[in-house]
Amino acid sequence: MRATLRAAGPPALFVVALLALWELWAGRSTSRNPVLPAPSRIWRAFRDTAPLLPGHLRTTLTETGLGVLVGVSTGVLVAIVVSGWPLARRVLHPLLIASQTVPIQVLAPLLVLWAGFGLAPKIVVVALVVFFPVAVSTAAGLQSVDVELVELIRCFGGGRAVLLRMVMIPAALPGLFAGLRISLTYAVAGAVIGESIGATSGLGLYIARSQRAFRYDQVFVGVAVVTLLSMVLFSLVSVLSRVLCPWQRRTDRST
Amino acid sequence: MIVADRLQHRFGTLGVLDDVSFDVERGRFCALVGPSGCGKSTVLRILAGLVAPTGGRAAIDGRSVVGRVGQAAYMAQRDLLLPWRRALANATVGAEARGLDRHAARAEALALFGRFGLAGFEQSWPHQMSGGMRQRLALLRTFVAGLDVLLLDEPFGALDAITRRDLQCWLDEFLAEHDHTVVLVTHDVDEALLLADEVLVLSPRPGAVTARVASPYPHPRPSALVTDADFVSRKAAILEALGQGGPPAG
Repeated sequence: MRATLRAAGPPALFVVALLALWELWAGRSTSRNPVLPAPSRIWRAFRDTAPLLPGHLRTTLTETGLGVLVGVSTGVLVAIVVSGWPLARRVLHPLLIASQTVPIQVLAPLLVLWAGFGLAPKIVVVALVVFFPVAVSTAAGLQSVDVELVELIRCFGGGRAVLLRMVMIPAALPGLFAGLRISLTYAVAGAVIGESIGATSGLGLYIARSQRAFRYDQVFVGVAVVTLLSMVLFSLVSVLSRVLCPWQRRTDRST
Repeated sequence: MIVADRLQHRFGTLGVLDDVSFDVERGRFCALVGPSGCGKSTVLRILAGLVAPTGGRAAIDGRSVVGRVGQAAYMAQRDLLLPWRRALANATVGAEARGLDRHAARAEALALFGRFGLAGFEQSWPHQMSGGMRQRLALLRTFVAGLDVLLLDEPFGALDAITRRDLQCWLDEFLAEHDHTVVLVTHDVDEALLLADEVLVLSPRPGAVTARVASPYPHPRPSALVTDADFVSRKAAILEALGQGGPPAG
């Protein structure tokens, strides 16, 4: 309990202090400057539009979830292919890099054009941002497998399936989670960008509409919900990683 | 029993082994000593089925080991514990890889934890254990694999002198109660004489057997044996054989 307080205390205090400063500074100039609304006004906007938010949130969450699923599966698959066949690495490497150089803001309208206003283009965008970090760090995990460990299993007569279960999968898991943690922060943003370009529902649509109506207080509500969603997903992955990779907790705390 | 018959091996143009022959009777302990790079580890890797020799033949209980793994339990110098498994789960890795029943292996390993000085550490992670404990756990894994032939490649090479001597005496005691056929590779002449029934001396690369020295003392042996006059004269014979035909090991 005390450890949790000590860990969470300083960042929480810092956020509160920032909000207070923001309130003081923006509160005086609100009437003249609606572009930076004070936290209290954002809170009012949140209460006013609260009934709308769950629907949008559900859409964004669905797109992010499915996108992450597709992205992780593709990433793991690419990692296995690339670390298993050197030729595949040489062939795929430039393509993989190229896939990450196209800005999402450019790609998203094209995807909407091709795949319509539904979930599909957003899932593709999310998958596209997720798969690369996952592929890179999973491949790094697979390639770091100790050759002697592989030999040890082999000389006891263990075949491919045993090797996969006992060595390869556990060796790749921490890398997979590291990549997932990095990409999750972009995943929600990817879905939101996709939605802001063309959608019938979603937090991105909510933000885009508010922007067009010059309701910047509502824009900030959208931003806050997106941020919270990202943080919740991030913690979820951290918990999952700690459950599935218990050996990674190098220091066992006594308190 | 183990038969190595005129084993030869080359890596490309580099001759590693040149005519290595020896037999180890069932239940006997044979040690290979030699300078660094003389190919003694390659002999073990051939017996483990990990390396196919470029010449000669090797067999365990009449079955060729060339290209055939799983006939002997091999232990490298590094403990090679799986960092993602707790001590008990690491002890059953060899048995599981052989396809033996996991629960039976667990029960067997659990019963041996005390004997290996690891009681109370069943649920520890490898990174929480000392070097000596990790090495004992690696030995435990080798025994639990349930194979009669053990191939030990400098199992104590990475340990400090005191821990090493403790483990040697302990291993000698443990093996005296069992019926394993063992081939040990080591730099340490005392270790070879203390543990083995016969010590083979290999020449510098390409390795060939240059001397055979018996170590005819009954097991288990007291650690004070190393100061015994007969032991010392046998040690001198081995050191002399090692000194022939090249600069000292380095």
